[in-house]
Amino acid sequence: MVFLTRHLLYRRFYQPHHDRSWKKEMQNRLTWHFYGRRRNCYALQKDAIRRSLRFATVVRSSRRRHVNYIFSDRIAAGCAQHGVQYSSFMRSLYENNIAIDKKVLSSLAVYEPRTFQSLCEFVKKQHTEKVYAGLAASVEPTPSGIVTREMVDKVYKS
Amino acid sequence: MANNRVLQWAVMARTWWIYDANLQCPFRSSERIITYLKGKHKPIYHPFADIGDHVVVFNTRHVAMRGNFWRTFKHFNHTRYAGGFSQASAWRVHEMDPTRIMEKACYQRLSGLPMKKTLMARLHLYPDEEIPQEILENVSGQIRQVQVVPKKLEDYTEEEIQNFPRLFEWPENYDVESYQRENQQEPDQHTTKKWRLD
Amino acid sequence: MSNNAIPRDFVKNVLQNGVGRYVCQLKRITFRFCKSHGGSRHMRDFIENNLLEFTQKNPGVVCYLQPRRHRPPSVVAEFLNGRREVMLLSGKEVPEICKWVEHMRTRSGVQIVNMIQNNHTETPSTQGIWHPFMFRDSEMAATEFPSKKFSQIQVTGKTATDLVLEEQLKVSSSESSDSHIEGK
Repeated sequence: MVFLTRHLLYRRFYQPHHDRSWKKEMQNRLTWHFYGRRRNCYALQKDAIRRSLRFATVVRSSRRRHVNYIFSDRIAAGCAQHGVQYSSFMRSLYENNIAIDKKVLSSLAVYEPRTFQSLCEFVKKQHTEKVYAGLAASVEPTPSGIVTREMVDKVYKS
Repeated sequence: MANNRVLQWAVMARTWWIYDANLQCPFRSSERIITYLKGKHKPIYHPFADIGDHVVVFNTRHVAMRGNFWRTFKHFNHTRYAGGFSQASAWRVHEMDPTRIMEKACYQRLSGLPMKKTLMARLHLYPDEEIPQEILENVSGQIRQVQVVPKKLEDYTEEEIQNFPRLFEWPENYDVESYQRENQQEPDQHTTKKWRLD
Repeated sequence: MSNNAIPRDFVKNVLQNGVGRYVCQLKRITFRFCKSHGGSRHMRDFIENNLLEFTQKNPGVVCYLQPRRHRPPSVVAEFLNGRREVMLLSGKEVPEICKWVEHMRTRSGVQIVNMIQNNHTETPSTQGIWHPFMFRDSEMAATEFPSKKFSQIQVTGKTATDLVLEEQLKVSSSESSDSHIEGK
């Protein structure tokens, strides 16, 4: 820390509230991006900091969700240019045990576009094979422990 | 790596798209157009990044609305003075400015974005097929329409209409020739008095 | 949040150091101490007992001793990448001073900062970064816009009108064939 004059140096240590200067420094570090006098004035900083830290607590949980939305948007955009829908793309990867998460998929779409293209081609091929086999609807996985009306009908008929 | 700075020039390139609004629903079209304005069709999308494209829309005079919407769909305005509220039905707005329906539809769908004024500046609307050459020469891609352009009854020849297979007989008291008569005038219930044509 | 005020960076290192041979990144080390005050007592002990061993083991590191009157003891390390680090050692005992000197010797000289991500690369893409014309239909480059081909919506299947007209064709063809048989 640079002190331009000796007076400024001693002011830190020989004041009635000498701790406040350190607190002031801490506050300045938290308010450097604020607008107006809330950035520089100690008294106005206090309330602004309390407010911003409160927001920071709230945002901590929702930030992850928003980042996830951006990943989904990017994957959807990457899929669309190969004629694949986002939902069918993700479902097909899940069904075929291709365990790549959204973060990596979205970065693949930008940085390794040919790899992403081959994933899309794979999904398309899977889809056409299912359609030719007449299994487009029936191959979809049913969660375990759930009995659908179709299953009951099949049992009755047999 | 010094090369990285150059690599992103192509990535961030702002391209131009063109869209034919002939006989298209303005609301469904605007949903497709704003994905290009916002840059949501690119895998580098981020809501705060300025990576949207330009879109040129022509034939906005010939947009088609569903059902009774030309009469019942309303555009609202308030001058923020007392008694400053006014509304106009879609056909009346369309008559005053043939690009207004499309513009408003896009603008409403961009609500909540801090960038919406910037994005709207990149939307170029033309009522008919004439587009200035300096705009058209930028265009490098076309957006697909949202619905099939139907063949109108006027486009069929009289012979084709006569030869079309008759599936059923009309009842005797049915007014068969009604489509050939002009629309009857009826009072415009959905427009404020000062905008009405009476 | 306000963490932006704290310096942050991606992970960095002196690349390929140790692949062929290891190069010690510590260039120069200065021991600053006071000859009379008690705060520098352990530093003086260190210089008396341990410094010679350190210099013999590390001939590539230049050592300086800088007595300063009535000032706390400290160590100044200068690295090959040009950075200079000062560490205050007042009240630290001899084993601890040895540890900090060893720490300075084995460091890469890169500043210790908050990390943005645990993994980072200067060359993210081997296939080339995506750009708007990568997967664009190459026919678009040769067409003049507006073109009807790229504008029309792609539909599969038939409309009701198509089906009716097909039926009419079938009926008319079967009628004509029937009449042909009757004529025979």
